Amino acid sequence: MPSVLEMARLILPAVLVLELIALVADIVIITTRTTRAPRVRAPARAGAGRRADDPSSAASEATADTGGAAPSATAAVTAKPKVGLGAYATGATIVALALLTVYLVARTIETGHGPFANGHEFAVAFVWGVLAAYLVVERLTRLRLLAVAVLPVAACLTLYAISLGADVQPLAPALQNNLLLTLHVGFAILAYGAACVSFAAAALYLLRPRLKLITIKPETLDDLGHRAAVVTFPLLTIMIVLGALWADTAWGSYWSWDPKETAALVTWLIYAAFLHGRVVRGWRGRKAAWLLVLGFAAVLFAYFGNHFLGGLHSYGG
Amino acid sequence: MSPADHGRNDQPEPAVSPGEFFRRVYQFFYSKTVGLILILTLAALVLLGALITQATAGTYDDAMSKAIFVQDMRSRYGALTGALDWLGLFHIFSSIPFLVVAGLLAASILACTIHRLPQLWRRHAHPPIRPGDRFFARARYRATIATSRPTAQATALASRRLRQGGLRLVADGDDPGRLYADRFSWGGLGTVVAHLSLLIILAAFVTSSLGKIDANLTLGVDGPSVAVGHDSGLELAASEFVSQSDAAGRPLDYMSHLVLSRDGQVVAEQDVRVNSPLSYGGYKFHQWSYSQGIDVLITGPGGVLTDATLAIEGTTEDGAAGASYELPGSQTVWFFVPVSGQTGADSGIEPGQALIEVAAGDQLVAQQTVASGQAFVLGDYAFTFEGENWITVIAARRDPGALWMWLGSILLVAGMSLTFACRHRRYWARLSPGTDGRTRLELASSDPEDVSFRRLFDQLATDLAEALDGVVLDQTAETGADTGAETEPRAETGTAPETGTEPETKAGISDTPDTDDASDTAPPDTARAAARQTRETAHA
Repeated sequence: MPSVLEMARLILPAVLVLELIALVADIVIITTRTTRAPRVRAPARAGAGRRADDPSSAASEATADTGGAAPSATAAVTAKPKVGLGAYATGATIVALALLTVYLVARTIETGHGPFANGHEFAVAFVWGVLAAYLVVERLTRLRLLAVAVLPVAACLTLYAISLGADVQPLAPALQNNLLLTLHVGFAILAYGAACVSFAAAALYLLRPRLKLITIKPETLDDLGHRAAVVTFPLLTIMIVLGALWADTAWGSYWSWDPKETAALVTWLIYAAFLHGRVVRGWRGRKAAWLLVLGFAAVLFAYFGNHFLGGLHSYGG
Repeated sequence: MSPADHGRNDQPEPAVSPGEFFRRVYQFFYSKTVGLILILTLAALVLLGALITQATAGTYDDAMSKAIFVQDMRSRYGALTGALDWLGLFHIFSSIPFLVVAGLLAASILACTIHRLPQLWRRHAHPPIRPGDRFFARARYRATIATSRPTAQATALASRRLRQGGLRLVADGDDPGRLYADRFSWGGLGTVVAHLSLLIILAAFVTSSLGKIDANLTLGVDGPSVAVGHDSGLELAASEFVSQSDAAGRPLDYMSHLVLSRDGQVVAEQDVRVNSPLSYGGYKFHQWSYSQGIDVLITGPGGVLTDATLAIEGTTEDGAAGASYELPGSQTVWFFVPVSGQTGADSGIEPGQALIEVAAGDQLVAQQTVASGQAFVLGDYAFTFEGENWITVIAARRDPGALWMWLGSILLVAGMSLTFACRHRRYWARLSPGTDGRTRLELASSDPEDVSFRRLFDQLATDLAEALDGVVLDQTAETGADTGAETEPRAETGTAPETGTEPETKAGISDTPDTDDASDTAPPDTARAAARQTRETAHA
């Protein structure tokens, strides 16, 4: 079995290449997509439990490109000229995720603890979270276009992970709590992945007026950004609570206003403001999208914060 | 001044009764807009706290510490340092603006929660079950199902199907052709739990800041016990300290074996590591830091001055590590040993020896190199070097707010899970004979744009069609923003309020549920359109 260093040398560049292949394939699919707008109002036909506009017809294709939206009787149908290419794009992303999973499991076996102990491991795990969140959303909504915003983030993080030393280091005494290390950082990874998806939806929403290629309905993007934030927020909450629990165990204080703690709180407050703004002020559209972009910027700020903020999390770099 | 002006000034100011005053204050605090502004303000303050270096606790309580800290900050912030200090941005989390915003937010959360409870109860116990015609025509989610079954039979079948789907069914006693079904009508309680949990967490912070015991105890290994203090009667000693590193010097483990005693009796002892503190009687003892030290015995005219381990304070250029002790008067005694791992080649101090110097200010008074166990006698003083040793610093903590923090955290996560996973979903159905002799079932719902709910709604429409041996004739899920689709059910004009009537109900909107929940909020433009329609209906 190759060492984790050899795996890092092989797997991470492969993951990067796969991400780029998937990104290029998705861009090709989107740029070569042709749109026709036939009326698909089908004649009502009898049949128990069947819709008059049968979803098994062409309307179901519209569903695929509109986030699973119910087929409207007057919906425009977007043709998919490169069906095979889409499968390759998704396949490349799945293989990239699988490779990352293998790598992270190998590191776990090698080190005996969750693969979150240093900057390299956390960066790889972050990529894993982003790809996993994207694939789940793609599976649920079939919104392939999201990849155009998600995969560049994943690729940049992969590059960053490659740039960091992959050697296995001993676990710092403060991190020697396998359960809380795994749970606290694991929830951070899941939250950050969901936040990246919400960012992607928001970015596409904001770019939509300028890029005609973005054919997803703005309401769908708006809703998707919101739903991803709804997932992000509790995950962030659990991450912070687990962090407080760990801090109390290790340092005897559940909250020390450590810069990284504080940055995580800023992130949490931004997502809280987003969700409240949606309820209270009906914040949708551009305003909501900008807040989600800000939220993900705060995620990145919290993630990279230990490099320039110092504090009790400085060993995480 | 004109007579008219004079007259106006003579009029007494309209009195605001205490009740009215408190009502206005309450209104201010339960405004969710106020809450939103407070959240954003708090986020901005916290962000400043993350970006600007914060003084450690207690720094600003001592003028000297503060001056040193501010001076240090000048190298980082330059000319801005004074302004940042004046604004309190170096201790933002204990500053007045931060505490005021946090307090106002707590008041806002409390008021919102109190205000919301009756609304949630009404929504659960008295849902609006009879919306108007316009709602079925313009609801965001709507479907029409046609069946050849008679209306009464279709109603019974639809009711059964809704119940089978796990929905709570509320029938309209006056009109059997009207059905209301919902799921998770209690889901809104999640927001109450989550908001109350935030209050508990804020209370935990206050409790911690007021009642927390936080002391660092410096223990020499195998040295004398140190009193924990705070009337605990406890004394702590370290019988062993281990610091392990790998070949590259990376730390592997810090461990102190601590012995806790009371009245000379050992009450607890344990190997304490960073992640495994010793807990006893509400106190926790954490491995905080460590350093090298020098065991000394100093006696003076009155007897023993100290018999302890002095912490190494620094190293000299020639490779000696020094620790000091202030003698009565203005003299200081320094003990120097070779830096760990070095011979005495540079400093002239061999391993196992110590150089003892007595100084008055910058003036050296006397010095002598002694071996371990030997004393340097100077006048009435005797300075004995007893050997090198480890010093382990243990953080003694007792936090009465911690329990509340964990309670609040559990409730916060539980409340959020309820809020997001158990969203209140509502469906309205109306069955009536159609012009073609078939029964029409109109199904509608009012949730905001939501892809997954759209699927649920479609599936329910399909299931109902199947149950009725019917067909879905028309199904629309347009967005309110684009089409002016109605997002809340409204009663027919002139319909007397039936159930779920809101206190502010006016003609035409008799059964409009409150709209302060994510699942019910209409976009502002849609809400305005609905309001316009309402006014038109009322006029009609």
